[in-house]
Amino acid sequence: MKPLGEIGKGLFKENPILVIMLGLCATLACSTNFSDALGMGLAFSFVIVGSNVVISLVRRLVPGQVRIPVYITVIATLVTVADYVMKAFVPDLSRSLGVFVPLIVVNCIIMGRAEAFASKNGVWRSFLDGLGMGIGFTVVIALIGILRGLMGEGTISLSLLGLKDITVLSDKWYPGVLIFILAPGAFLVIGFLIALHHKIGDLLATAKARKTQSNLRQAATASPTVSGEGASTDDRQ
Amino acid sequence: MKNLIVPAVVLSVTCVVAAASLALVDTVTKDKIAENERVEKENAMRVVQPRATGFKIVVKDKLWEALDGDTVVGRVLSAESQGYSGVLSIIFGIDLENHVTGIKIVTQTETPGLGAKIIKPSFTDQYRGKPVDQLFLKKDDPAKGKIDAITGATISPRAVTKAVREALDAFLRGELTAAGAAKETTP
Repeated sequence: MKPLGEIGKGLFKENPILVIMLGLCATLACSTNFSDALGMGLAFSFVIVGSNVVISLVRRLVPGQVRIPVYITVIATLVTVADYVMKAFVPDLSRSLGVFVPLIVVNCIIMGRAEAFASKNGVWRSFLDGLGMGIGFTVVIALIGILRGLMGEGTISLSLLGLKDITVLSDKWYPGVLIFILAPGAFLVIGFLIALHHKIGDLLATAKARKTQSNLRQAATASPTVSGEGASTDDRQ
Repeated sequence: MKNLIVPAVVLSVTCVVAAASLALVDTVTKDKIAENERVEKENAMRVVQPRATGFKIVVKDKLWEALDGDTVVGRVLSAESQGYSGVLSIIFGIDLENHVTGIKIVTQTETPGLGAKIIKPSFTDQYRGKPVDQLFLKKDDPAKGKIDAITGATISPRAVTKAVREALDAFLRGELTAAGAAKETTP
């Protein structure tokens, strides 16, 4: 597969939150506002890229019976290293992310990718897979964070970037819908995003089918012999 | 037999490598982390005692004198209490009349977006200028209380208020001060 395709599948087709739906616990806990969500996304991305690479490197050396304990050790070590390094060299960022870093260990998407992808694929592809999953996770959790912050409090928190919160809906006339700050609200937001994701997926599929069909027809009218080739080129895109 | 030994060896090697890399990272970062924590603590003290230029330890980790040059302008106390999901560690300053000059939540693990709002200035600023007998939540004690809780989170603000009130109480009763510094409050 092309490198871009490997990253792209984490973004849409196999998005960790909207499609794989693993590790929702961390997603619920850290998506109450944009800052926290972004922080969790970045920390998560670092660990999944690292763990995918390390696990892909050792995949031939680890016997099947002990692979899960080995993966857990690798992930936990990476998380702790990341935690220490951040505390020592970027204390401000560490203060914002402090609570989330230990949560990454228990994020099952990382285990899932280790088991389903990194243990069966080469280092480069595993790196790209981790990167795609990281980006896909970060984008979606940040979006959930923005939506929950907006509906729950009327603000978009930017404290992670060192900026003041943006108040979109003033609390003078918008009291905030508390449920969106709480876990059930996260489920609602994720549910609607999944529906939207399906809708977009359907639209894309229909558009693709229509294009294939018209290509077929064109090819058929131009020269019937190359029609099969035209369709297969389209499929790959 | 081989089926038993190989996995055991692999797992042991993994753990040794993991432990070694953690030990290495710890050695490299330990001093830096301790230094960061010290600086952070001092900055926190400056926040709760804006007038002070220096601090002198009276009771280690519990009570400091805030100095402006050589004159004592107030004190800094530390407080701890059980929050909604973990221990809250707080430091706060008081002036010579024993009114709170500011509080800062040093560590907390409250629910992000709810209880964690106790670190926001809109909450902590409420404590400024309050004497010990006003340190109650309004919803707990409408007569005396002057502290507003946070929507959706009552336990965390209550824990903060209780921690500050009890630490200040202990100080006023002279329990905290080894050398009886409480009696010198109004010389």
